Amino acid sequence: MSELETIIGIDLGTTNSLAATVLEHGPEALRPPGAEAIMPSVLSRSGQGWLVGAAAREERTRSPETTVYSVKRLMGRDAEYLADEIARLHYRVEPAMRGLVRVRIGEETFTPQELSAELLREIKRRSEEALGHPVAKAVITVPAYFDDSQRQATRDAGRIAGLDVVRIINEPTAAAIAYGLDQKKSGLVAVYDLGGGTFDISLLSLSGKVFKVLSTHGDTHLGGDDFDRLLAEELRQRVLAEHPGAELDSPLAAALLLKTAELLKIDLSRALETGYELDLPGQGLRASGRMTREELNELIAPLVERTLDSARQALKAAGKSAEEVQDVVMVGGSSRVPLVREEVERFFGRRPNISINPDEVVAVGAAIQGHLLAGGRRDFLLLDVIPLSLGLETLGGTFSKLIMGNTTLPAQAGELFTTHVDNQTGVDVNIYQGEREFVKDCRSLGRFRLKGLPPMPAGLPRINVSFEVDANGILTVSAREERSGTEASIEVIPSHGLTGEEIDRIMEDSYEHAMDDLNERQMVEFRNMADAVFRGIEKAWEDAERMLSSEATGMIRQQMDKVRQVAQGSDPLALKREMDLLGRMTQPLADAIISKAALTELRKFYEDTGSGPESG
Amino acid sequence: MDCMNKPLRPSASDGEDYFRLFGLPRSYAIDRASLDSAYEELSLSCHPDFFAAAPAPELAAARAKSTLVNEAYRVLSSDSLRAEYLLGLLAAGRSLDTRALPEGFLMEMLELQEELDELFPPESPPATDGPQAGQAQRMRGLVKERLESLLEERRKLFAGAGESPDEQILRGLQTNLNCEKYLNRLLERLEIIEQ
Repeated sequence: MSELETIIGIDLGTTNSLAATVLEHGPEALRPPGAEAIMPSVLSRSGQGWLVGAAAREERTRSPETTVYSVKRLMGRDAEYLADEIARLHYRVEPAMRGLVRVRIGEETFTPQELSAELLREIKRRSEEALGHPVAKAVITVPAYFDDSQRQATRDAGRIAGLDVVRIINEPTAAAIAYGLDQKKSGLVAVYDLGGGTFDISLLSLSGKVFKVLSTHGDTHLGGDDFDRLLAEELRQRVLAEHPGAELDSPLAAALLLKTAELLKIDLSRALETGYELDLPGQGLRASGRMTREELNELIAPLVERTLDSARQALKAAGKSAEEVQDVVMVGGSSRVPLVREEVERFFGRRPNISINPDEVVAVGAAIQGHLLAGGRRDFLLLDVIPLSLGLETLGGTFSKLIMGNTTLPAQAGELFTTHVDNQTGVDVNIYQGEREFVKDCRSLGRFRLKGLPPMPAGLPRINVSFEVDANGILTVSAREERSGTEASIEVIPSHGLTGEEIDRIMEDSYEHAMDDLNERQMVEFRNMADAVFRGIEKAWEDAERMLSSEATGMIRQQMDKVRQVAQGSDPLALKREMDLLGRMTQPLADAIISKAALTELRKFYEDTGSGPESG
Repeated sequence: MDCMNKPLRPSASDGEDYFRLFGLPRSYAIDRASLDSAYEELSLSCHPDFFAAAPAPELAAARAKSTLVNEAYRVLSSDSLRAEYLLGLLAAGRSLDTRALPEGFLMEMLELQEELDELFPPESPPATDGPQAGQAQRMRGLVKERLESLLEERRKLFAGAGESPDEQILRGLQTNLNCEKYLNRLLERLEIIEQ
C-alpha cells in the first residue's frame, strides 16, 4: 500500500468541502489534528491573503462584502445566466470577458476558478497536515448534471491550486460506490443527492463488480441554500410587518437574515416548532417570533417537487419505473430536511437509506475511485454517463445531436464536413450541449475552427471531425481531411471558462504571489528572531564588556546596526546572512554566558544536595 | 454549416463486428444475460480507469477499446439499433432505400398527425386529464399496437434471413425499420402531450 501514490478524493461542495483517502484499514474522511473533517466553502479576503473555512464563515455577518460563499454556483456560467443568482449574493459579481464572471472585492477581482482554487489549496493543505505527507493528485467530484464548461472550470481550479486532477467524478456516482461497496449491494439503486446548491438524481445498476449509471438528471441551481433564501425572505416579510421602518436590504442585514434562516431550518429538522430572534444592533432593532415545520414545508414544497420532476425524467431515460428501484440512497446535507425525506419515500414507495453519513459519503467514494486509479484495486468498475447530449449547430440554428445524453463514457462520435466555397481553407463549427431542438436553447461550449485545409473545389474535402468524451465527461475534438490525409488543426475557443494561457498566467501569478507571501512571512519571522537576539545581547552586555575585548564588542555593535538596516528591507535571505554573521560574532559570548549560567546552576545543585563535585 | 450528417461508427474500419466482439451469434434474437455479462467482462478488461498509471499508448488503446465496447453495447442492447446494424451487415454494401414505405402507410401516418394537430394544437397545455387525455391514451394504444406488430414482423424476417438473405427480405427489413421511425416519432409526441 505504501508504494502506491496517494490520490485523495475531494468533495468540493457549494456550502461545505472535505477530503477523504483510503488508508490501510479502509477509506476515511481526512481530519487535520484538532479540526473538523468538513470545511465550510467560504473565503474571506483579509489584506493580501485569504481566510478560508470556518474562520471565513464567521466573517459572513461581519464583513459580507469581502466574504465569498457559494462559488460553485458561479463555476462555468455567464453573467446573463447568473443574473438572479448575482442579485441575491452579498458580494459583488461582475460580467467579464468571454462569458466569464469575476468577483469584486475592493480593488481586486477574481474568477470563480481562482476562488475555488483557494478552497482546494486549503483542502490540500489540511489533507497534507492530516496525512503527514505532501499530496499532489486528486479526484474531485462535481454534480452529475454539470455540463462541459462547469467540469472544465472545476478542473482548472484544481490546476491553479497545484493539484493534478486525475479524475472528475459525479457526486451521486461517488456516493453509490461508497455505499454499494460498503453494503455489497446489487440491483437498481437511485441516489438522491440534495446538497447546498445543487441537486442530482442518478439511477445505477449495481452488479457485484460493475457500477453502471443508467441515467442522470438534476438541477445545478437547486439546493439547501435555496431553502434558506426562501426562509430568509419569509423572515424579512415578518420583521417588516412588525417594524415597518426597518432597513433590511443592506448586505449586513441580509447576511443576518440568511444566517437566522439557516439556523431555523436546522432546528425545524428536529423540532416541529421553534423560536427565532433577530438582532440588528445598528438599528436598535430586535425582532423575534416562532415558526412551525409546517410553515417551512409550505415554503419549500415547490422546490422539493422540482427534485421529484428530475427523478421522473431520470426514470424515463433509464426505461425504469419507481417501483423497480430496490434502494434509494440519500446524500447531501439537505437530505436531512424532513419534508425531503418524506416526499422521496412517498415517490419511491420505500424507505430511503439514510444509514450512511450524507456529508462524507461523496468524498469517501471519490477516495475509493482515486485508490483504483492509483492501481490500488481492480475489483470494481464505475461506468458513468454524459449527462447532456452533445452536438453541433446545423442549418437554421437547429441542434444536431452527436452523442446522446446518458451515453456511457468514454464515448466518441464522428461527423463528416466539407466546404461550400472553392479553395476554402477553413470551416467553423459551433458546439452545443443540451436537450432542446434549437441551439438558442442549448448551451454553447465553444467554436471549433478547422484550419489549414488544402485548397480544393467546394464540396470535395472530406473532413472527418471526431468528438471524444473521456471518462471525466470532458470533450476533446480532432479532425482529419481524408482525401489529402492532412490533419486539420483545430482551435478551440471556449464560450465560457478560461483558455490555457489564462490558466498558465493565473498559475504564474499565484506562484509569484506565493513567493511574495513566503518572502513576507520569512521577513516577519527573521525580524522577530533578530529582536529576540538583540534583547539577549543587551541583557548580557555587561558580561560581554567584561569577557570580550573592546574590539570584539565594537564589531558586535556594528553588526547589530547592519542587521537593523537589512531588516528594514524585504530580502529575507540577506537578513538571514547578516543574522548568521552576528551569531558567529556573539558565539564566544554565548558560550561564556552559558558556561557561567551552567556553573551557577551546578553549584546550586550541589549546594542543595549537600555534596560537592569530586574534583575540578 | 457544412455538415454532411454522416455519422461514423468507431467500428467501421477495424473489421470487427459488434456481435463477434461480444462473442455472440450474429442474429437479431439476443440473449440479454450473455450480452450484459460479456459487456461487463470486456469493460473490466479495458476500461481506461485501470490504465490511469500506464504509459500513454496503453492508456490510449484502452480508451479506444472501451469506447468501441460502449458503442457496441449501446447498439446491441437496443432493438431498433441492433436491427439497423445487423441489416447493414447482411446487406454487405448493397444500398437499400431508407425512405421506402408500404403502400398506404404514409397516408395513415398523415391522418394520425392531423388528428393529433386538431386535438392538441401546438401551443396547447399538456393533457393530463379530461376527455382529451382519453383521446391521447387511445391513440397511444393504437400506435403501440402497430409497433408491436412491426416488431413481430421483424423477428420473422430476421429468422428467415439466414447468412445471406435475398434482396426481397433485405428490402422488407429496411421498410420495417423505416415504419418504426414514423411510429416512434408519433409516440414521442403523444408522450409530450400527456406529460
